[in-house]
Amino acid sequence: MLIVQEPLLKASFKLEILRRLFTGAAILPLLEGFEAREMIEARQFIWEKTIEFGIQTRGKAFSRDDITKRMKPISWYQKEKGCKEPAQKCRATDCFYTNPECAFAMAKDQIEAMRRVLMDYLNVTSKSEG
Amino acid sequence: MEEYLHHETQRVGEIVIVGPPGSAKYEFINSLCKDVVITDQDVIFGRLPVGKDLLLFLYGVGYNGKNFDFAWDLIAPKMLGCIILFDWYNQQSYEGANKILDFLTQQFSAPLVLAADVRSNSYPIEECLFSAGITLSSHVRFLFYRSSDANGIRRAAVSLLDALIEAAS
Repeated sequence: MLIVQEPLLKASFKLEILRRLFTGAAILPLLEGFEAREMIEARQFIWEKTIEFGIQTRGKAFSRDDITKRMKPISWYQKEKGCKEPAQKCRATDCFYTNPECAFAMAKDQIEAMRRVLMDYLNVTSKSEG
Repeated sequence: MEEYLHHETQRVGEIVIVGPPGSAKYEFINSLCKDVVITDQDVIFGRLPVGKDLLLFLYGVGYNGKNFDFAWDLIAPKMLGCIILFDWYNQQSYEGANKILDFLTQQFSAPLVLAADVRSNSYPIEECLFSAGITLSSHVRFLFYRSSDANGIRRAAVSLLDALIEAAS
């Protein structure tokens, strides 16, 4: 049976993410203390916005690779941690529960990479870069 | 005068315009409706005909930062949708809008549009990127507008109508 879970993240949190994206402010401090499902939802929301704004600003020239090429490959994390699990587990969300330290670190790296891609799409200057 | 009368064949929908103190609720409703009334209960009321078959009642209500007032209790259960207005560059207004947003999304499933007023400032991102509304969730959209610009106000209203049509289909 398919169980649809209610979103954990409040609408105001998503608004705050947009606000930070539009003003070039850092997102990672917002995610401190997040639990697995919250982190997964936050990453998913930012991924969706990155795709949406990517398509709107780049049109036919948009490619997922624009985003993923800024992220470290899964193999990098596996090597770093000496992880022998199949890469598929890493692509899914299993690791948030079985190997949270690595999964959270990867999610944060991905979110920061997406933020930087979005800075380009939105033509916004990152505050941390001055 | 004819256009303000409620015909028996016309459907009536109720839209709530809410925002923290200082949000331009009157300007918003006044830009869309020809006759606007401020009631004794501090409710701003306007009628907006949408074609021949639909008449929207717009209610501008306040939010004092802690709870919603009497008017809100009366109107909210019947509302078709809601537009939350706030000043993008005013931290207090932004925080007020956050409280309203969380309250409404936790209490109601009606479509919501969050309209951030940039006043006389430039938009933080290109207009084409938010003109259709940026999706926050299945029933919440976000966009920028200027309280002095009738087109931007109309765009926010149309965004809510689009969300209502989507929700109904």
